[in-house]
Amino acid sequence: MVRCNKCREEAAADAPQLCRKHFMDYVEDTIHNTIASRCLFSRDDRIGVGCSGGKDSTVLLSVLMKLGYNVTALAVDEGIAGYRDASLASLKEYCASNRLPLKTLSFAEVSGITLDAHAAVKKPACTGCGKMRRHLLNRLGHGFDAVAVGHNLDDEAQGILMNLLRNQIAKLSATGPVAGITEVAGFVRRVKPLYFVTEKQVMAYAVLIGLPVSFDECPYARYSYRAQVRDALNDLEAVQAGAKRRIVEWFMRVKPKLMEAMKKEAGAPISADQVSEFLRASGVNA
Amino acid sequence: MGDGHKNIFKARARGFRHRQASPLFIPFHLGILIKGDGFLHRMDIYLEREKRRVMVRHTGTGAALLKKLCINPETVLIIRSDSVVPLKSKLSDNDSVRIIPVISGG
Repeated sequence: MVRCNKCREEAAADAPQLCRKHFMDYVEDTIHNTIASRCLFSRDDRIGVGCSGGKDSTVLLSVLMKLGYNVTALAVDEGIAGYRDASLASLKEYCASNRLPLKTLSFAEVSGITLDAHAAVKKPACTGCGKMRRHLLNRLGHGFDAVAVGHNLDDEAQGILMNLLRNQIAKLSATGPVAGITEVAGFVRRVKPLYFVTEKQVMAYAVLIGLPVSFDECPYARYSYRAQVRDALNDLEAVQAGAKRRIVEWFMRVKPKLMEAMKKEAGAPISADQVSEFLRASGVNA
Repeated sequence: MGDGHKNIFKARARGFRHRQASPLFIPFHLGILIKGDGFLHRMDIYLEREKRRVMVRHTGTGAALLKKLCINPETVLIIRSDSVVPLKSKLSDNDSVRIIPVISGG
């Protein structure tokens, strides 16, 4: 029997090898420390949590509730038939059972077309989808002190590597536990409390607390550059344990200097005219 | 660098993830058989992403099982009775496990 590093009970997770109780404490403490040390938000703030019904956002919602924060779920419906409807149904059920307020907005409501229609014209659809999602989440987030998203350590390591490989230094410097370089009018602060929690730890936490987790992957995700970087990083991690964490730690060390250097170049984190851009890419005259 | 990564790269190069299970594709010397072909005392494994069940003769750690199935341990969790099985934990032929992907969403 593999034992917990802290109490010698049977281990319920690896990396770190801990029992159920200590593993849950570890994940919750990591999230709490990220919020406190990076000044993401305080207990008095109203927090909107960007939710998709997937494991990351549902775990984030669950932990923030447990830590006593004032949270509201915010969901964006891209209009992906057979995928998003199922995950949003599961999110609605979760919010109803926990008496959590939920605000939703869809691509169709704002632009008149769904992501399915956009993807029929433009592939890979991920770039347009990502920008629209951030734009709509920002709209939903008006009136909140911050919008928390469920990006984990794996997502961030992928983002850092993608920006490096594309030589997008301004974009690279704008990532981090708090998105953006400068405060921009109309942009709600976007923060990432799961920044130092790995994807595997998030999934293990979701299993241990019995969250209803969907194992589905977005049907368009496999066409993306991110999917290629993710696979390469996972292969690297299998032979060099801790590679992803070291990428993020390296970035956190150089980020202050990068931010200083890029302050003049960086604009608003999201384009103000995002809807028109999405429609143009979909072949619709905006 | 050990030899473990070579198996992963080779398996990906062969497109292992995208193929359906078939007795012809899965090497018999590994002791992997499709359920229902009459062999007993094999570990019952449900692969959540592929939504299929395989029977494997295996006594050893979770990490060794994933290596046998050519699955990168970074991408999955082994679940037994709604609990996560650490990679160093021993598994035997009588176990029934689920292998779930940690990558979801998009």
